[in-house]
Order: sequence, then structure tokens, then C-alpha cells
Amino acid sequence: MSASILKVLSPNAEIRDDGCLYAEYVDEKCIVETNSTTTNTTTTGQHSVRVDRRKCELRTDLRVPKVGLMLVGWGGNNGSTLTASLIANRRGLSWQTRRGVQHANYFGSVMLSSTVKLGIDEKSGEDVYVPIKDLLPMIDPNELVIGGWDISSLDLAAAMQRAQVLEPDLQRQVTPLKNA
Amino acid sequence: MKKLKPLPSIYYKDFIAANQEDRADNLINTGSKRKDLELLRADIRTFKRTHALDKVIVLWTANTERFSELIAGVNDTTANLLRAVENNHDEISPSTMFAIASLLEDAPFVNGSPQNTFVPGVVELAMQRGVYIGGDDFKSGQTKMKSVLVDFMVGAGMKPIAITSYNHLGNNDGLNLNAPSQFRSKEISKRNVVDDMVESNSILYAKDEKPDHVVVSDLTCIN
Repeated sequence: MSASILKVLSPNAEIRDDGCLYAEYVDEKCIVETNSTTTNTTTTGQHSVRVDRRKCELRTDLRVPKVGLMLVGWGGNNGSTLTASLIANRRGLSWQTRRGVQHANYFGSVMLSSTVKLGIDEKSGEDVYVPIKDLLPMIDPNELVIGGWDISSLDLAAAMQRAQVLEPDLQRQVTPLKNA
Repeated sequence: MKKLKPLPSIYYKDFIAANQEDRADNLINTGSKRKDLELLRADIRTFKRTHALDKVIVLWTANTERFSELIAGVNDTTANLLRAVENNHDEISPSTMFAIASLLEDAPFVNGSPQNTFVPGVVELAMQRGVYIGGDDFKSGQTKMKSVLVDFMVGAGMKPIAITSYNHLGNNDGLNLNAPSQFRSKEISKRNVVDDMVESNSILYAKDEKPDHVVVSDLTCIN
């Protein structure tokens, strides 16, 4: 389960007894009033701009729930590949490919493999990047329970074969395995 | 994986390609949409209880359906939509049925295919129940590239006048999209992607002027 690595030092944010993070936030929008004339090629006009400020309170529940994912079309290419991927990552599997050994990872996932710039380092002034998944406590995909429906009765091992997506050695390894 | 077996699903023939009939051997066959809805809801509740879950999320990753016709009195409001289910109306798609079942069980529903699952009656139901819905087509290839490239060009003051994107389809997804009305759903979803950028720049594009946009599908990957 990933826990947050951040401590927010701000008078506008606090974690309360209910396990939620409360943050005061001012939402600003630029509201434009336009007196325009339109020709064939362009619209020109007088734009008057004012700022609309709205105070909001954002509440983020920091308690990570136990989540199940039900897929409609679980036995399709996406469903079977996702199911095998979760099993492979949960178990830390490695498999042979014609180019060598491949280790399970979540490369290709926005939430799990990308980073955001948090700020600049206090001492060095260098950019500090953190994984998106570490900004807040988030569901760990390895903890997801998967289920769902399909118009085809094939079990997920047979569905994975039918999909022809994954390397044979990986298919062989995950076939007898089940998710938690 | 061998021990994981999908639950029987609903199958309303008219909504997906006829070529899918060969694999349709695991069906909920009540003949009544009211009963179908009850079964789907029960499936979600059972799953939640069996695994002692705090939350269930439902994700549509099944075949692209043809678009549902928007009919006043049928799918325009939640009340009408639920009544249409009771009356076994033809124009309610499987994906809309799953969305309704999810929302009634407070399970967020995410759509991964380009059909119009979220008819106005579904959107209203989501707002009424305070449950999230979201999603259109899964976008991981040509559509993402297209959005990024057109955004870059228009943002840099360059004017794309024609866009042709190649959709390399595979396997069963490609087979289902071979049928014109299912492909139309895909085509509509993929073409809409550049609209925002075009509309943002009135120097390059006159009102209602758009790039000539064609989506070509390569079906040779189907085995």
C-alpha cells in the first residue's frame, strides 16, 4: 500500500480526525465580457476581464479503501492482459523473451510510472520530481481484486491465449496462478 | 488464471457486430431488461460481499456498440430511462444497462469504448446518486499522438489542413469494428479529438472551418 511521502507545511491544509485532508483553496477564473464584431476571417473586439474568486474547501480522503474492479468483457484482450499483468507484478515475475529476460513492471501507466515536479530543492535550487503515485495514499494495483462479466465462457487462461498478446513464457507462469 | 471464470453477461444482438455471435456462449438470457438489471446489481453486491470490499468500480472494456438513438421519453431522463427498462425497450444498450446497475449500487462506472453509453438519463442518475461516471474510448495510440501533435502545431501558429490517421486494429476488437455501425462509433470518437484545438484559434480557422479529417482502419491484423 503506498503511503504519502509528502508533508504539506501550510496554514491552509490540515489532516483531521476523520482521516481526511482539508485544504482551503481559492479558485480563480477570468471572466470575459466581449463586445465583438465578426468578419469572414477573424473575430475582433473589446474584451473586458475581471477575476472571479471562489473560496473552496477541498476534502481528500486519505484512507485507502479495499477496491474490487469488475470488468465488462473480462475475457477480452484488455481484461485478460490486465489480469495477467496484475498477477505478474504482484508476484514479481520474470519471463524469457527472444530478446532476453523481462521483469514485470508498470511502465506505460500514467499513474504508476510518471512523475511530477514538486518544486525546487531548498539547498541546490534543482528541480525536485516525485512519482504521481506518491503524492497521496493511493490504491496499489497489486491489491486490486478483479472480476467481471463476459459473453464468452472461456476461463481467463484460455482467454489470455486467445488474445495472443503476452509472451508464451509469461502465459505459462500465470496460468496456474490466481489473484488474491 | 485457469480458475478465474467470467460471470454470464447480457447480449442484445443488435448492438454489436453479428460476427461476435460465435463467442456468445455465456449469457444472461432472461428476455426481460428489468430482470437483467436485477441480476447485474446482484452480481455487484455479491462480488463486494464475497471479497469484503469497501468499494467496487465497474469498467467497460467490452465490444464497441453501435450508437443508441436518443429518444425523448425513453433515455432523456432518469425516470424515463428506468421506465423504459421496466418496459423492455429495445433502444437501451448493454453498456447503458451496466451503467444503470453500477450507479444503483453506488459503484463508479468507467466507459472504455466509444459508444454513447452515457445517455442523458444516465448522467442525471449519476448526479442524483452522487456517483462518478466517466470515460470514452481508451486512448493509447493514434488518438493521443494526434491530440498532442495538433495541439503543438496549432499552438505554434501552424495550420493543419488535413489529418489522416491510421488505426491498426487487431484481434476481436478489429473483427467487431469491421461492421459499419460499430466502426462509426469509433470514427466519431476519434475525430472529435482535435475540435477543441481548432476552436481555440480563430486566426487559423474561420468559424466552422476544420481540417479534413479521415480515420483509416487497417484490418489486416485480424487473424
